[in-house]
Amino acid sequence: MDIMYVSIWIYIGVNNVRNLLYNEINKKIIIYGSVIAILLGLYNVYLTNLYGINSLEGLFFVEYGFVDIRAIKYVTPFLKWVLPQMVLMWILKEFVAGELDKNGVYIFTRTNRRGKWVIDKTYDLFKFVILFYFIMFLITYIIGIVVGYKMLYIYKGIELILTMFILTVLLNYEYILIINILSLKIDVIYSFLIALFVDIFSLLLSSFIYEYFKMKIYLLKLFPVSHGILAWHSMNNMYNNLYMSEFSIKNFSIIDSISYLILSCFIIVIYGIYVFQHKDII
Amino acid sequence: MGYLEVTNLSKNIGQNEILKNINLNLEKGTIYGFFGRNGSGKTMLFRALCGLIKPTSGTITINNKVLHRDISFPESIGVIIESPGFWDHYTGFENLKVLSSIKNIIGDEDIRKSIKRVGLDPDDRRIYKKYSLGMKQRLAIAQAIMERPDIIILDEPTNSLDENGVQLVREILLEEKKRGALILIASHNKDDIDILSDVKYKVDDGAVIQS
Repeated sequence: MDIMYVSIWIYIGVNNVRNLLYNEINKKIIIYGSVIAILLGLYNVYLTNLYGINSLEGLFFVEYGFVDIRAIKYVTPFLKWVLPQMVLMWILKEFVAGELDKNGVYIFTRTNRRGKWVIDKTYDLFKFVILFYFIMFLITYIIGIVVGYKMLYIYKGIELILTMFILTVLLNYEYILIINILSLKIDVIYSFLIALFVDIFSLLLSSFIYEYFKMKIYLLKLFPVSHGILAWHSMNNMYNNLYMSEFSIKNFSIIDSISYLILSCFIIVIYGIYVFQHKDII
Repeated sequence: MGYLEVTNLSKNIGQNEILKNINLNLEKGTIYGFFGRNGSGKTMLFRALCGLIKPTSGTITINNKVLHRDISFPESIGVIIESPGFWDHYTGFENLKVLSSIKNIIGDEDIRKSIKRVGLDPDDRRIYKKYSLGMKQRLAIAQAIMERPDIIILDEPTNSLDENGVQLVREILLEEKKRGALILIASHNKDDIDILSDVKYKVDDGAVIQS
């Protein structure tokens, strides 16, 4: 009986993986996500040793929750943060425009439910972003285990990792939405460059404000990127033991950030529906 | 008044006037052929008739309903415009099943009949990505006719087809005309236009002239 159950589970698992790999975008996400996670994971193992936080929480924190605002001006920390985002943006940049170009004529001569189509596509994008970071987090976990890291505090650790996963997914989803919704109005390459500019410029501007206008540091709450970086939030007992930088933004809570990111994604989707309902399908 | 009437239709994109004051009066049970060089405005005219682009001025009336006022797209239309675009990892049958599920007015048997009608096998398990160009074009034809639409608009319907395919598509279009469909075709293939069309129009620089 047990063998039968195991066989059924294996069959279901193999089928799910096969279905997942049928999709070209999923394939790219899995391949690129794995490669980047391995490269960044190994580099971050080195950093955790340097910072003296040799734990799974530490590895995840360095990889997904920490950007040293004092070091943004140097290339490596900046690239480490931006690289996975850039790759994901590149993979998903023309998803909505591409689908519209490919199937739009056949679909919109059969239905006028354009809003529903936009919602369906943005939901697909959300699933792609989750898949990308699920793969990255999984590989980071495997690398951590392989180098012998353990979780210091099980519940706190899981809470910390889940929070970083939510913030990372939402922030990246926002960038992906910006690109895809803009691509309904302008060329895909321009929309990609605009989203990339928003990402990079807000990081550099944060660094600039930190260096020269410390009194205005609260302005960082306006930038999407700040909401995705756990370490910039007000001190939280969730990561006391990982505290590596004296920098944080006062009265900047994680709940505020999740709300900000969800609300901004919602506004972008609503704008996308509006744009698409008035768009010529050429 | 015709089943499909176009009155003073113009379309500007940016500074360019791509459709210029077009007037047409089209009846069911007739094949209308449109010819003209690349970029003359044939495809854009077809997109306007499908409701995919909004006219800058003028009206399109279908069965006494004004497009973009009473209806947002023609209620019964089958279309091929430019290269066929289906979902790569579905079979031919699955692709048509997905599209038919949008209106949900035909069943599996109707889809199978349409696929057979264009000379494909509805039980073929090959995914669309593995289809030859000719098979893709045949599937696109099946997609356009499967819901027995009142209006059929085909941009280059015989593209990528071999001689047998071209002959088959011509026969299908004549059968559809007999059924009472209003058919518009645009083709570079002069023979298609000459053999099939009851009325011919030349499209030149966004203007339409009866030939």
